[in-house]
Amino acid sequence: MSNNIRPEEIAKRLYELDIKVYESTDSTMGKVFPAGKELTVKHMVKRIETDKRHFLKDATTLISNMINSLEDGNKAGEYRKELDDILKMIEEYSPYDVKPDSFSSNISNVKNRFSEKDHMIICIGREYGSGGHEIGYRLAERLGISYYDKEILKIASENFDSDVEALTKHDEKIGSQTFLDKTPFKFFGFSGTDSLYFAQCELIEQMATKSDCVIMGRCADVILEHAGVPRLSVFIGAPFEERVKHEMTCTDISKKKAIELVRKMDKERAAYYNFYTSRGWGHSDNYDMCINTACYGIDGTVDMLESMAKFAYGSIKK
Amino acid sequence: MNKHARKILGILLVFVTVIMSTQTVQAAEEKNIGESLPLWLCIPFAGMLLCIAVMPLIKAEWWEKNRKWAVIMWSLLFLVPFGIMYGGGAAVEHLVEVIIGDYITFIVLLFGLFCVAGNISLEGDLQGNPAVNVVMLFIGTMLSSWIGTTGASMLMIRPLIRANKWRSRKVQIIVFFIFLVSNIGGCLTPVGDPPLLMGFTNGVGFFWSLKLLPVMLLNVILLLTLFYIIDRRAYKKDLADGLRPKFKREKKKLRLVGAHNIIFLIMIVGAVILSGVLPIISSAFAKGPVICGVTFSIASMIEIAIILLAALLSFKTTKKEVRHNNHFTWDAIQEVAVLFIGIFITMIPALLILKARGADLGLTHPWQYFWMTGALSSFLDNTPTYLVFFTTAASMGFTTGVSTVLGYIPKVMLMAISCGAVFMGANTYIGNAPNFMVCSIAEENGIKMPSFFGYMVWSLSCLIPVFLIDMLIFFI
Repeated sequence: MSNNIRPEEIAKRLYELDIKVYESTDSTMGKVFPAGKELTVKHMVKRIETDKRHFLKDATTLISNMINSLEDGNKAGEYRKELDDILKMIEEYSPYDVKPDSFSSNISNVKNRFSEKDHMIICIGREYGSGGHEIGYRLAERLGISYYDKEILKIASENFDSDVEALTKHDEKIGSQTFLDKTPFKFFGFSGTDSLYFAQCELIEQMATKSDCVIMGRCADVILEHAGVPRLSVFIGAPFEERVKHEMTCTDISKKKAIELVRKMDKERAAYYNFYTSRGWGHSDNYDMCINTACYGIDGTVDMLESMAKFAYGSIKK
Repeated sequence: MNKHARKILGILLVFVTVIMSTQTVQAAEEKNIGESLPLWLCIPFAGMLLCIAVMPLIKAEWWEKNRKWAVIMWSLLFLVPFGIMYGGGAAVEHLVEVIIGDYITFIVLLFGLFCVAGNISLEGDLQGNPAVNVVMLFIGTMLSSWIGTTGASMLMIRPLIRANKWRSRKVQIIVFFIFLVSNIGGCLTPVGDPPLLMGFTNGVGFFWSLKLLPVMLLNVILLLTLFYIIDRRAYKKDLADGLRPKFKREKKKLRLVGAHNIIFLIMIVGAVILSGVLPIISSAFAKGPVICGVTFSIASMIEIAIILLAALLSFKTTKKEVRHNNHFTWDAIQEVAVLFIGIFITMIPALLILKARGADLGLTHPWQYFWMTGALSSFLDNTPTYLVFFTTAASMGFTTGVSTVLGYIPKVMLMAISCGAVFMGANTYIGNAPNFMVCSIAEENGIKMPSFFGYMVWSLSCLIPVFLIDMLIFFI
């Protein structure tokens, strides 16, 4: 019997019930599930599937408290019934009775990840000096899609009445406070880096739902994952020595300065990614593909990524 | 009240009447009940606490509907044997004393502040993050001494919950709120916490408690630092889970809706001060109608009248939308009213024993007073606990120190008693009146709070080390 119950259904019904109950209270104090639907459902499903259903018990108790506080008895009765149904489903569901479809499920099979309504989104994380910027730009040109790197900052500066230079100080860095008083974010009371991160999240989500694009860094892969936007995620790296050489060639600086710069930038990017995602920057399990550009070169890497994009989106993007 | 409740109360009344008629003489002869009171009479109190601690965990919904029965049961389990042993008259007298002397003023004050604070709403783009939360906790802590821990708690808890509504991990915010705003912050004036008001009525200067400022500041600094570290970790996890505040281009400035209720809040604070000051001004205010041997003082009646008037005016002059906005319901105050009548009644034997034998504990050093007052204030009403140790210290024959109506108490010793009574109310949910209210309001608004024991894990791990530091620096 429990095989007929899908965790997604339990999670969706519980999430929707929370919204209905919260709206009926007219409160502005906050609901039980503060995140968006996609994200909340995903987290709940994970807990149901791993038999950590006691977490849901806390949530159902809190929703039940809110139902008790409703003045409209009819609505309260209706919601109580819905909650009882959901609790019954949670009780009956057994994660141990469910067998996976196959190893290559919808999640792991990149070909099944995208539908016709989805845009082609490629998120590129990169070590400093690995040629990531150039690769991303050329890939976007080849695929004929938009490219966003510092452009995100430009849009942010237009949207939030701030200058690009002020924003650049906080780009992919954590911990700076000085930006706080110079922007409209001051009412939020967030640090400059946090404010910029939240603004970038909004922009990245907007861009990804508007058109096909390549987005460089800025935790775009995780932001879009949370937003439920299908994307390809790639990490570009190269051995440290190679990246130092590349930096020296491109910027004409001394080896000592290049070493310092590469180390500093890597450290900042890793700290930024790790802080906002709690995941390991550059760890292979967080990406669809990790490439060493020292092995394939800039052109070779662009070729590979183009093939990868065509493989993933081939059937839906002509 | 339903049919069953009426039936049980009927049986109880008949029982109490029978006991009263047969054993009132024995009650009159009993001079100091506390000295002969057996410890097992404290079992109902332990049972009451155990129910509060365990029942929400094992049968939450049942407990929510039936806690009144648990209160009646444990109260009877104390009152009936007590009545049999010492006479129905003594039982009724203690019951009435607790209800008139303690419970009514306690619950009316809580009710008044709950109503008035529920009509004030802080609106605007205030978004909770570790830094903002630290600032809000600090403001609340500083307010506590001037509008009372209950007043500050009721006033600040909703803005804090609302600011953090975008977050998922927020238990630590409420727990530290209870530590700081509902308890520690109230140590600077007699308005802050009832034990200090008791000290004031016994001759301690109104501003004497300001001497506790260094202790309070140390605690606030340590706890806010710890809070910041914990909250930042939680914040980071929330961000990693993809949570973030809603961004609006049009910013709303912060504004206090229903700000006129501040007047009613001041009225309530004034009523509390009056209740302490009036009997000092004239002994006539300490008199009043005598019910079952217990005087319901005019000062208390004035306090109650002013508080209820403030609550009424607050409701009449504030739009319903403000309360809706605050998700104002009666559940939290109902829960506290029901549970605390049981706690107050079953607490009687523990307080009687403490009053009778407190002086025999052999306390001689300030640190001993700090811990003993604190440990007992964690579970018992901190006002009588404070008074017991205040009296004990004053009767030790000191010739210098803080002058009180009961005698001299060395400054450090009085500081230790005051800090113990005020600070350690934070150790449990029942340690101080606002603790439970804050917990209830949080649970009503989507925050799953720790159980009774879960909360004690927080207090033992965060507060006890801080109190140890207090002892080492100030009381040894």
